[in-house]
Amino acid sequence: MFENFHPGFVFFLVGFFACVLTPKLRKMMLACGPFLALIAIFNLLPGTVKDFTFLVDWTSHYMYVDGLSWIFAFIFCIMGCIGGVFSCHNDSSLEAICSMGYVGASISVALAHDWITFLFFWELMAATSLFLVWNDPRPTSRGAGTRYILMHTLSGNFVLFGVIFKLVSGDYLVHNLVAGPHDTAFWLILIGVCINAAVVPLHAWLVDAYPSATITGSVFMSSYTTKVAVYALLRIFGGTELLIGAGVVMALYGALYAVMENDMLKLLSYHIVSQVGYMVAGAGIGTVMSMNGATAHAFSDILFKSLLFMCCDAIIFATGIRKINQLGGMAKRYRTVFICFIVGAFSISGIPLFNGFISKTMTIYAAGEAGLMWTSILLELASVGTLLSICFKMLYFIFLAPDKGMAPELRPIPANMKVGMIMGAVCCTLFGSFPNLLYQYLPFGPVLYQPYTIARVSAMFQMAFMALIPFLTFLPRMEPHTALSLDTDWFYRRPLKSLFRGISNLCISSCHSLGHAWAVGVHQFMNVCNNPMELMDARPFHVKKHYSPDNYRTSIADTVMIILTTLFICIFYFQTIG
Amino acid sequence: MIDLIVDKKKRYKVMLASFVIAAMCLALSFACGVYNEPAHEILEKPFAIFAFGFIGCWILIIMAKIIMTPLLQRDEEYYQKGDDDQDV
Repeated sequence: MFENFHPGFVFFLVGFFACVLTPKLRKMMLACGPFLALIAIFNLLPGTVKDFTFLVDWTSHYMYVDGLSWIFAFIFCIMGCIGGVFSCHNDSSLEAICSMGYVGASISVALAHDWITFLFFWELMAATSLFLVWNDPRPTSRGAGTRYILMHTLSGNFVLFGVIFKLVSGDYLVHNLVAGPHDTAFWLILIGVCINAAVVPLHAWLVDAYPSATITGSVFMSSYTTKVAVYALLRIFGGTELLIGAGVVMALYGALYAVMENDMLKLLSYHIVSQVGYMVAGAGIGTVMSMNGATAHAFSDILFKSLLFMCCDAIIFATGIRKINQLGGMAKRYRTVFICFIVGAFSISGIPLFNGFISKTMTIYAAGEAGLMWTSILLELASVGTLLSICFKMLYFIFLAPDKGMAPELRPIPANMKVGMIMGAVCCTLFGSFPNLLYQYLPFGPVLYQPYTIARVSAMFQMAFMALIPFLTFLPRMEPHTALSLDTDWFYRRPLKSLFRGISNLCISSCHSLGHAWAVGVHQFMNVCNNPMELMDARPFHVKKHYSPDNYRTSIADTVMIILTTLFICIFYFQTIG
Repeated sequence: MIDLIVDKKKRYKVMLASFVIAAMCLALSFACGVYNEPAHEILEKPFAIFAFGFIGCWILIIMAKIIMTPLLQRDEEYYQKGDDDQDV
């Protein structure tokens, strides 16, 4: 039944039905519907190409299945299932249709084979995810959503113009562009994809929008936009050396900001930037090992990052608190969340037996194998940063430190949220403990990497335990304080905003002045037209005198005088003649 | 709950335990002959990753908490003051 059925369309259907069904049926649809997409994905045959002809002569290759598109579609489906379960208690039908549409669009980008289909779903992804931000009732979410869609419109336009250039040159199918030519289309598409991948300094939309999304919306957002961009980088720009430096900067930048951050979701958002940095660097290195490493890390990152978002969202749902320095003692109150958070934290930090270990170390190893010593050292340093901010800082201050007692009331966490978290934790542990479950599907060639060697496991533990010592030494000053960290969005939220406001005011005042001058001119012109005599009288133009015909009407005496004068002249003339 | 900020003794104990475990891992690596073969990378050399965890963490703490925090952190209402995101 599901043979070669597009899994993205399953999500569109689930979203549609979730929107029109009654609340009870919607919950069931959200919890169970996405699993049909998993069945569909396992029934996709490699090499499948599906298309339909549109507008007479244009063919949309909407489904092309190869190793890379399949593994991304697969993890997007898994995440759709977990997210569906986690969010099924929601009452909002708008959020249901948008989240499912977002998943469907992401899968469709991964399976698209031609530029126009790719672009269409790329834009649909931005449009659907926007409402996950705007659906949040906080006033700040509206501004964040507006900035989010502005950045994604910019990204979409870059890709659009690149695609137009590609189509003009007769290039219809999505493929690797690194071989050349490195023309305008190449750079436009690269910039567009880099915006979505949150490459520093184009990343600020991410840390601005994700924490502003709804509680369940942020779980979806953490998993898709940047990973779809990573898919695009691997597919189109794998081997672009420029990406190596960009990836390293991202990994370190995200890790450093995360150490400073106090807002739980902002901290995790900075870690998305950091982890995507590994993938971008892996795509840039371009070897079989690095490309496989980047793919594996994208797969792992979706699982552990969504798990961490789910745990933090559950804490926010229960306490209403988002700040780390206002929390504490959550380990005792919410055991399930605590255990799931440990799994997520260990996974992202690359602790053995969890899935970050099998993918992150592979990317770092690939950099070393390619002879990029500094890349490998700096990526390793970024992983120390991950340990520091998530494994030590978040784990201690949210769960293990004494409770600050700032939560007004503690709400119970719905069962479906717990089930979603447990599903995520099981996936992280399963793929981490049995790496071949993932490695067998890696698309760029056989995986000649063995993560579980004594050297690697021992090295990871040495690094983790030695990093704990500076953290504990500095512990009294490690607690974050309530503050806002300035980021690159400052440029468009302050000076650029002032510039636009200044230009707008200038335009408005110019319009106003011009309009006033025009009105005065028209008024004077009308006066002159009404009474040209005024002009002939050569009166000063600026003397304003209201026109009245009485001023220029001759008196009856003048008329009588003229008649009498004429009469006397006539009498005198005729008498003289006579 | 563990208040390691106030309870300094406990904190030092955890630090010591952490160091001992790291040292045991290093010893295990030596015992298993991990460092017998020539290292291809700098971090594969003996003691390199052991020191890297410690020094790297200090570098990050100093950069983030001592240099970046005073430079980049502002009041939480920083953007709202410029009437951005105001609820109309």
